[in-house]
Amino acid sequence: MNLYHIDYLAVSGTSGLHRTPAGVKLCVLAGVIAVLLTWRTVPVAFSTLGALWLLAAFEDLPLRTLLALVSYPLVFLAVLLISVQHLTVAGALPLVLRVLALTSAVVLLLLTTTYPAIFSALGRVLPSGLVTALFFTYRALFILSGSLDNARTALHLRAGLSWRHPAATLRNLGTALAHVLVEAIELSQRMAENLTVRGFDNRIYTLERRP
Amino acid sequence: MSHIHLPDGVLPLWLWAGGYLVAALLLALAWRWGRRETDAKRFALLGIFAAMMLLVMSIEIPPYHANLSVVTGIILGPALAVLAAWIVNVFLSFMGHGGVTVAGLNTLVIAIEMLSGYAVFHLLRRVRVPLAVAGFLAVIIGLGLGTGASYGIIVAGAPTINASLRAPETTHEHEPGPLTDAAQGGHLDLHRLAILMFGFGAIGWILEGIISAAILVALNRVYPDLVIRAETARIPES
Repeated sequence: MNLYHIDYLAVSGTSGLHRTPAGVKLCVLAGVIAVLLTWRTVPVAFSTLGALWLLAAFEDLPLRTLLALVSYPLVFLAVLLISVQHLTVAGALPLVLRVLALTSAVVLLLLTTTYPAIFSALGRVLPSGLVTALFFTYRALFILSGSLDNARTALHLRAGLSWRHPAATLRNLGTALAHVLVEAIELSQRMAENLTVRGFDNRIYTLERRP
Repeated sequence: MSHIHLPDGVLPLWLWAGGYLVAALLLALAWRWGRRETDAKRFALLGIFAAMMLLVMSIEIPPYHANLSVVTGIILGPALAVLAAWIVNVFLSFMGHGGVTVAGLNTLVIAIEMLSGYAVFHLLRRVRVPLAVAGFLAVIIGLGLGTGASYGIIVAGAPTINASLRAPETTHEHEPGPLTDAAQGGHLDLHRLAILMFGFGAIGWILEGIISAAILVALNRVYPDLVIRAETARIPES
């Protein structure tokens, strides 16, 4: 889950899908979900999956990244399928194809649309406070990501994560995370002070990118 | 981490749509209750903790990953914690980590973890249980209840999942007599699922419990007011 890479692909891309307004893409995504959940057959799932991947190839999107992100939910689906008795390939195939198609649709949106654009589009239907909270989280993700990387490096330099001493390792991990949280809380306070100075009124205003 | 990692297309419509409805009601309540707290400072803290939850999920302790839901619930308090649960699930669903359709249900599951963890932590602190022990037990009980909710959701959706797993060619509609289990096609073994979720899950709860207790103890050293405020903020003065 490399957020930097995903965000970079969404921000820097210039394909037709990147230029399509986020609201349109969200509506298409809702349509794809509705189709796949209404007609739960192999041909529908397979043709939708094929169409989405062809679109990704046509738009020159990084197919390896797409594959990595799409295969992630399959791991979780596998846990569910382990709990199935008398599982057959014919029984599992429609479910697997449907999950692959639905996830491909979501990931295509993610790779071609920036989070701020998605939040702006969601802002038309959601209360402004919720959308503001989403923007704050998006900003905090990148600020905290650096601190977390530093904590990881510090952990490895000190003792690393050794499972010979699990309790000590977990305590060290907890202390490292607390260190990041202390830094994060300080950052949040500074961010809040800056916003107050700038006249923050519980709302984030965004400019829409022209196609 | 006990939220449902189910992708889209597995659970029935009535279940996930109902999940959205109940989550929307809970969010509306949390929004109304937390309105007095939605100043810049609280928004920033909410964003930071939601982001922290998302980032911590990338630290894998195979086959488990932490999420700090109970710590977030304890620090933010019930109203903002529910909002944080929703935010985290919106991000996760757009990453393909959990489906878009199950985001409502997952919000409920994580909110249950946060709220129950918060309540247990306060209860234990009132009877003077040490901070680390209170934090550890709050995580165990919170994640246990969250897992219970996840299991309940899957049990409710089991008939639809079983129907999805029955391939058309295994139904043998024209053959007379009772069908064998194998001929009926696959079906979810809820006993096996319970062992997977609660058995392996319990190991994860203990791991997260130790990490969360260490976080609370360390945070209390630097920001005692944050943890103490979290302990007393919503307890009426007597």
